[in-house]
Amino acid sequence: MNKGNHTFLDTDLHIHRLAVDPSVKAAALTVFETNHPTAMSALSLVELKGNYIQDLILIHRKISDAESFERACAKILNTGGKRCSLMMAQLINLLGGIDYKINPWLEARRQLLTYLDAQIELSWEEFRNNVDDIFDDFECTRATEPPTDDGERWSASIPRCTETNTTCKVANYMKAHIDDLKRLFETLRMLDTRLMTQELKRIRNVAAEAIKDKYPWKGNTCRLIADLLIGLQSKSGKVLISSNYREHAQMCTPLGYTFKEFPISSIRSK
Amino acid sequence: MNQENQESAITPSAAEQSNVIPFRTRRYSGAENQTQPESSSITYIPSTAPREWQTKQIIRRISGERFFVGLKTPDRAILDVAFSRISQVLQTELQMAELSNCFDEWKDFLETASRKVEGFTGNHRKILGTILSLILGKDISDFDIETLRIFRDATNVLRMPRASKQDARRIIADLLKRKKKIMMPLGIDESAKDEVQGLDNIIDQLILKSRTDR
Repeated sequence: MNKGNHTFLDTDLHIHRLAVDPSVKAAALTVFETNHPTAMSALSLVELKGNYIQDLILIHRKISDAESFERACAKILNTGGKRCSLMMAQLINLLGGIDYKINPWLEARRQLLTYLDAQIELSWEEFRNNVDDIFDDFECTRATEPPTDDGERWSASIPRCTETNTTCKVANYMKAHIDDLKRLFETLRMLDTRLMTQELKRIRNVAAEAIKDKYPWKGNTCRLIADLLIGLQSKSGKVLISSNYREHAQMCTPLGYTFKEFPISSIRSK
Repeated sequence: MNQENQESAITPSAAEQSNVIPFRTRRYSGAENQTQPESSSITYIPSTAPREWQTKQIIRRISGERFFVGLKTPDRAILDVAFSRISQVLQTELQMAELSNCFDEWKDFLETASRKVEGFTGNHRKILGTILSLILGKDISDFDIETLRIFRDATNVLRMPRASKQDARRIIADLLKRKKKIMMPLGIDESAKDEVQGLDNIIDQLILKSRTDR
């Protein structure tokens, strides 16, 4: 594998290629198809599991438990929020929209669960297959754990990292990039407060710890500073494409990777 | 008819009784009376529960065709017909129109199976949902022969009482190897107001429909 040639695609690109908006979907697909060889960080799999796949599992669970369509809609909205509610609506839209045979509910439920079972099972493998290579320089343990099912229920829980359940090398990985982290810390320390996001604040704090050789890898730290780890991993390739402009625009120079924005706002407004 | 005649019509005459060969009473070692039926007030009524031969009507209603389905369950019959259709699709000596119609009927049977079949396990649903996601809105011309073979093999697995995780993973892996994009576009951005409004309307109308039709 020639690392230097790869175009890294951020986690959000994987979601954009499944967008309901046809223009966003088409633009994301073009990025995947015209930038071979493509790559992703293994941490993106963890992010996808924690977002998209968790949403699918919530919808599956609530539909499975609900005794009527109305009840299923209410449960999904109340427990998963608007995005989950819209995801279910989109599924039904694809299956016929307002002409979808929602009655009898038992049959509709069976059919919806059939689609959801497949989508959950598929998602992990298809995310992996969407790129030519996956880079896992810090050997993330969580990225090796696909969603599981017992035949009826799904689980995509991402455990907090502890000494007993984690064998990754992220602490060493951070140590190997200590000079990059020092530059990043200085950049973020001087950053205009209007440009500072919540994630950049977390990254600044974690970078400060890592510089002292105390990277706090236990718990959910890596997930909370995913942009930093994906940025560092992108140094292995020629460019990182992402719609997370606010974070990567500040980090790319001190960390030493090339960032290209996926201009989601302008694509939508067209 | 008077009462005497009625009784004679019901009770066999002595001559008739002499021709009747009595059942041999089973005798076991031990108590003689052990096998004597006890008097009981229980009345046995034939079951009116659906019988398996009703499958025939179910299949007719679905396909408009007559099938000899014997004692198969309705679930199994639907899947057998689906398998028959996708097998026909691979018979290249048939005309294009016929192949295409077989493919469309196979799609219909799979959709019916997703709603009607009660005996599916989670692994069956993964396989069926994968195929349905892939063929949604597509025609036979969208697939090559190799993919159609995968569909046939997958439909065959659906007929089995059990499908393993390995079966589901193998079928998905085979389809992904063929560069098939199976995931449905469910990634929604809440800031896309037009789409959000449209999807909200769908849900509102379906809730109304589910209440009124219930």
